[in-house]
Amino acid sequence: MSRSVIVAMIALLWLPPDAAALDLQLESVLTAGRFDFTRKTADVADAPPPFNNRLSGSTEHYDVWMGPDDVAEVPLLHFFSYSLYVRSKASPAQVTRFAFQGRSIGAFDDQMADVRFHVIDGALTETDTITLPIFGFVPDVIVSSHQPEDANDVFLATEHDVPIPITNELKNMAVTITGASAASNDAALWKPIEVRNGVAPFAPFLLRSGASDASTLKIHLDPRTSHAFGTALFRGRAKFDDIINVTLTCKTLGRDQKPVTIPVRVQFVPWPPILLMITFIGAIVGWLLLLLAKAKRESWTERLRILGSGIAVALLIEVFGMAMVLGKSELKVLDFTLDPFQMPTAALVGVLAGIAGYKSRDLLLSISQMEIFRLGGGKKSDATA
Amino acid sequence: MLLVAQLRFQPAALTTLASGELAMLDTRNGVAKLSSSNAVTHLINGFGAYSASGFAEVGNGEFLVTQEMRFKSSATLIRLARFNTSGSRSSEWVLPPGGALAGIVVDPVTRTAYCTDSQTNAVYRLAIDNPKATYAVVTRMPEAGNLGPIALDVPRRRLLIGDVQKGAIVSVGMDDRKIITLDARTVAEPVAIAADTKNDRVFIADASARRIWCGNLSKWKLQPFNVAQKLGFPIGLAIARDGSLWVADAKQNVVYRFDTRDGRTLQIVKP
Repeated sequence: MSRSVIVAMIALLWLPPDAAALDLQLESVLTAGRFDFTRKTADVADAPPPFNNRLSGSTEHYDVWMGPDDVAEVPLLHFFSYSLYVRSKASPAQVTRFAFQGRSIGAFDDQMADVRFHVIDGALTETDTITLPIFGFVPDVIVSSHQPEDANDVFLATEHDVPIPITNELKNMAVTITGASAASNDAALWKPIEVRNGVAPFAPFLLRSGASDASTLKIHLDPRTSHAFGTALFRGRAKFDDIINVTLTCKTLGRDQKPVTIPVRVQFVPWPPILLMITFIGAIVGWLLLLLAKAKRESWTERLRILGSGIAVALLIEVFGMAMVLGKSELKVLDFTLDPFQMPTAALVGVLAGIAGYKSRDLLLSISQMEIFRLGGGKKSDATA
Repeated sequence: MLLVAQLRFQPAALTTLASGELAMLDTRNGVAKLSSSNAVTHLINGFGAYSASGFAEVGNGEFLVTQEMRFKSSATLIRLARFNTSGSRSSEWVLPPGGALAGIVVDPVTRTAYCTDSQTNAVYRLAIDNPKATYAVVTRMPEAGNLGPIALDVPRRRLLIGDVQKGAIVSVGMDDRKIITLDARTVAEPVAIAADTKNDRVFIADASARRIWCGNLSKWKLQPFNVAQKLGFPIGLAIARDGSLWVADAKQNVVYRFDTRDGRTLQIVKP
């Protein structure tokens, strides 16, 4: 026997215990139910995940950890599979993988729990705790959304972002929103609906344990005005015009991705006849202003005629503006784009037409004298003149 | 050359149909088959509120699927459902409360289904052509951990059953109900068993050890079946008509077909 072989044999005797001699045990966790761990295998880890501080524990001589992808549900056989890694602090290059089977008894929320572990190396046993995900018998509702009692308001001809408040129902486990999409019950009402993170396109984000977020997630709505107008006009007794189903894909440690659908009710505002009423009232206000400033000397008959003209012109402009927007044009005043489907514009149109009562009267007269109104109605036109 | 097909779901359990095609079970999304032309066709589109834990072909394009629906109250609805060729549920056999059906296998000659119960560790027998049949207990194994996969060894008139928790393989005589522990040391986590009675071979998927074991059905001596691919979490097995082996890998979400002579990869089916 050569000298080198003898040296090698002696060296082998002095080597630290190999991977197979090392053992790791996890204690059961008691919550509202119970979660048991059964150790299945131990082998040398060929490509262990990097050590991390979140899913780890340390004893005097050993580090124990798990990667975020090292736990998975096995629905076929009703258990969870775990891989945990152990390394000696003295020789960190040598890592042992321990496979565990986790089973839940009783219903409780999925959660992060402090699990007591024992590293056993021959006569040496060291104990500490590691934070691990444990899982209830029944997968929970992960994410919920508290929707307002009344439908969300959306303007008929203006883009609008509707916030989607969400809450992580798991009080002790974070959830990642990995995907989001939105679909309307009536696709004809909208241009393509986008789900956004604030003003940016959607990107996956983390919702911490039990956290609520009312501002990050939004759906960007851009109505097709003509369809929206028709729907809003004939809403009937319903308290909403459409339901947009926002589907979030949620992922928690160990569980498969799960879709959560949030129905978001929307209604177009204001109701179109209301706009005409506001225009009507605006015209009266404008007429009153005109009375104060200029029309004091007119007879009441003339004053009422001016009022009637103001109201008629205001309604004409409002309806004309609506028709323009429905026809995909814009209503502009002094380079400002006005949305005739919003109440301030409707009120402004009314007030301006009311103030310009004389002009409104003249405008109506000129319209009534147009050739088109003379055909078959000349006598009436003369009377008006 | 490797043929790669596209899947839309996560295959878990596998079985080879009488037609020779591969059928794949997704616990939530239903059953799909991989045709010889490599096209994936959905045979059952989802299980609704139920999830599945095992399936078997009845023989004429119909399937038996073990299903469960869990509730927060810890109550569970367990049933064996029969799906016809159009993918609709045609009959069901509800298991009394307290159990949980796991593996299933069908004896095509006697038209009998055998199921394992992972809660009570019982093995049941059911006449599949009788919609009013009740579960008859073949045997109970109170000392077992959690019974899971089940396979049929017709020539030896026995059922091969895996204990997923204790890591044991037992056989149960179909006639004498005799229980024999075939292995309690080699396999750590037997999640699938495929018996190739034609070639007197057996394959066992050992999920936590990330490997397949193979052995001789008559002598029962297991040894590692080394395959060309590194497995992440083998969960389903099926013997192809040509004797090659289908393996579903839950971690990689892939189904492989291996040559059983040398472990060479013959086909990959990817999601």
